[in-house]
Amino acid sequence: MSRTNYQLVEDKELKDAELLILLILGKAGGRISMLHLQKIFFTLWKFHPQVRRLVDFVPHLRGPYSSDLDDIVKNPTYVVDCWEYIPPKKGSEAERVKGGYLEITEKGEEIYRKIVDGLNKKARGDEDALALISAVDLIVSLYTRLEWDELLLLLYTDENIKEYSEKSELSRDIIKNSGKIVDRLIKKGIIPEEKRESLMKRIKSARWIM
Amino acid sequence: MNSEDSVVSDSSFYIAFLSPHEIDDPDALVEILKKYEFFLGKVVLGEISEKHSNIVDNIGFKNMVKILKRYDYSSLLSIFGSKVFEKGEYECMAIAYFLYRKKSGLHSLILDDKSARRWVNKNIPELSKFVRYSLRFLVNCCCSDGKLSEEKVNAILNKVVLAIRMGKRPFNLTERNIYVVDQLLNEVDGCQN
Repeated sequence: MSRTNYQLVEDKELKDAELLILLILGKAGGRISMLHLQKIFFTLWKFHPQVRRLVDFVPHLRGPYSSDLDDIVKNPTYVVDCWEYIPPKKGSEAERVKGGYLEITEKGEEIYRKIVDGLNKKARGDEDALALISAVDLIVSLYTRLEWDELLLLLYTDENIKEYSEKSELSRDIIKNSGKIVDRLIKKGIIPEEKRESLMKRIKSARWIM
Repeated sequence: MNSEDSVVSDSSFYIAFLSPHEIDDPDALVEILKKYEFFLGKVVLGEISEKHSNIVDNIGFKNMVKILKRYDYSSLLSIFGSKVFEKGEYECMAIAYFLYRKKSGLHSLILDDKSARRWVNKNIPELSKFVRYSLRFLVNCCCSDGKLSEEKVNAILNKVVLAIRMGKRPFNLTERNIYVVDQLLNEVDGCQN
């Protein structure tokens, strides 16, 4: 591939990453924490081979993290003026962990609706588009029901992605409060009451974060 | 077969037919697989092949189902399901959602585990109306869809009863579930197909 073609591919991938951020943000109701956005994007990255080409993820202080994604969110190139990044408020631990928020703009809402329409039309004959929009529909509403510590507890103790959680700085605090967090997850119906023991066992056996 | 015949199931449904320790009736499974389009992910296929690779090869199982390899469906619900449910269970929930979004693509999501079924009802309510127990699916094959004969479904249900009486656990059923199978036998006898 020539240098120009490489550039075209890179440009397309950057644009696709920005459109996917807007799709997640719109599906989340127009406001999402950076923490939630990173983890949702990571799950889609694990799921879909085309998302895998857009950014890289590495193990980091709060589990899987993409510096590419962080940069794209704060300095979009193609999908401009579609969201505003709100930095975290000082003084609150929870707000620091959440890493600030993205808020959709009026222009962003308009483009979001166009992306959804376009993807739904494309999905009729394109399996990749169908898989992507189905996955976004399925997981964004589930992930955004989780508080930051609920999300991190479930993520850190998932054995299938343990290599991304080994460097986590918050795991000790999260594990210390796991009883209360599990209570909340059960109350929300995210974990069935009869599976409390299974989840507690999973937490205790998550040696990679100890 | 049309697009509304798509079925997703966890491994317990297939294994019950394939295993000599359950109802041991691979021919019945072949007949069912020919009537619907069954979709499987890598995890469920692995669970079935792990213990039954010979019979899976002998009946040509992989040619009769649609195996979805391009996407890692189990990763979508992994943070909720890991060590809480079976991996194959949360993989097939995600596949079922994909088929549901495909518009009128999904016929049934077969799940026998009560907690997994409750989880779907609570967290993915769009799928609730598609969730079936294995035996309910079989009865519907006859009574609602007319795709299996009354004799065939009766024969399968009688094998289930026999297996339970021999101390086996087909479709995770035990002695205390026999009355349910009896009710289903009556239902099949009374249905018009």
